Amino acid sequence: MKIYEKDPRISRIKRELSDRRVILVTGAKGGVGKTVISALLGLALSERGKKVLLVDADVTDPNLHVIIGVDPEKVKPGEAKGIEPLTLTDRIGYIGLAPYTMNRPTPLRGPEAVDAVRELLGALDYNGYEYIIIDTPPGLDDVLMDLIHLTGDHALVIVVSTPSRMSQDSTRRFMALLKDLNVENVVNVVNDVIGIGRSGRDSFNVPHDALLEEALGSIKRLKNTEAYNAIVRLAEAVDP
Amino acid sequence: MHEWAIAEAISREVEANLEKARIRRVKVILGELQNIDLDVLKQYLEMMLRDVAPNVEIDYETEEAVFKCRRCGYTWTLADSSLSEEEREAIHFVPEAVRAYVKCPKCSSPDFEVLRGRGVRLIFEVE
Ligand SMILES: Nc1ncnc2c1ncn2[C@@H]1O[C@H](COP(=O)(O)OP(=O)(O)OP(=O)(O)O)[C@@H](O)[C@H]1O
Ligand SMILES: [Mg+2]
Ligand SMILES: [Zn+2]
Repeated sequence: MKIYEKDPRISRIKRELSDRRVILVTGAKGGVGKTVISALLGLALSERGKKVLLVDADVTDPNLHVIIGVDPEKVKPGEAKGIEPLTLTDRIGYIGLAPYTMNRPTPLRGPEAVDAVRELLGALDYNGYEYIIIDTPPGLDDVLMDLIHLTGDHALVIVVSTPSRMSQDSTRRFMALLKDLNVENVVNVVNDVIGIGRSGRDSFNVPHDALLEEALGSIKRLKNTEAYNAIVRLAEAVDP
Repeated sequence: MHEWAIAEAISREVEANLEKARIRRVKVILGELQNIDLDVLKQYLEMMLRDVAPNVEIDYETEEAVFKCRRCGYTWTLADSSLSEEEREAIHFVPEAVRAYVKCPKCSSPDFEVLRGRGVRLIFEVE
């Protein structure tokens, strides 16, 4: 007789995610626009008639709710046949840890952050969502590794960088790692956060947008930004 | 009830393992921290497994939640911590949320370890 332990969440996560379009929004560095791009891409895909779930997997420093105008101290996700994401519109859902922590500081060591993300993904009611966009923490993080192990064989991995040479240096290593992990579906987005004015040749480029800050928190205003217009073209490429 | 998704996760895992081995028994260990409704879970799980794994014996066991501070080393239990209904509910969905509501009783650090009793674990006994 043999005895072994299993994590019950893995099978359900894999099965639920296997027939949906999963997009991991990643980046080798912090502050390059991963969260902004996650949200804008979600909006752009929903405009194309798709039902989109935005997942904030940056559980120790969640920000996604700020961009889409969710106050985590006021709202609570529901529960039915699983955790029910908050619905922003009839085609955009949001889930993250922040509504469960009242947005308080939540120090989690790597494996604990992985546990939190597995818990959310393992207990979600995925009902009807076609695109699952997952905003990840910066760098070669434990949560990112876990998400790649869970979904890397079919997910689209968006690697966000800035035109800065330092960001490009980090991104080269990051891309090499993805290759070693056999992730094939990769798109590089160069986001000019601080206005360097350069853009990448083999990448998708998002210009610096001075008006973005003011649009944060309002889906309507976000859709009038230049950054959004650039992401609309990314959405067309992702969802032909 | 979100117990439905948890039962479904367990049932999927049992199913996946059934393809690889002859499972005799599965022990479902429920961490006290997550505070899962055992009766509800049992009911859903029995219903789901009736068809996929009728011969697998399921046992349930609850595990007390114990914390250990990473700053001062103090060890304490969930029963020592006072939590509101809303806080318990949040922790029920994601046990890691406990760090937003519980602090070390000795040094107030939120950086502590959950030694045991976190969430759902499965122990498989196969032939
Ligand atoms: N194209 C842009 N033009 C101007 N500002 C931008 C642009 N993209 C992002 N920003 C701003 O840069 C800051 C960082 O963006 P964001 O939080 O999305 O980065 P991130 O990569 O998710 O950061 P973290 O690594 O901390 O998660 C935000 O204040 C955001 O509004
Ligand atoms: Mg971010
Ligand atoms: Zn302490």
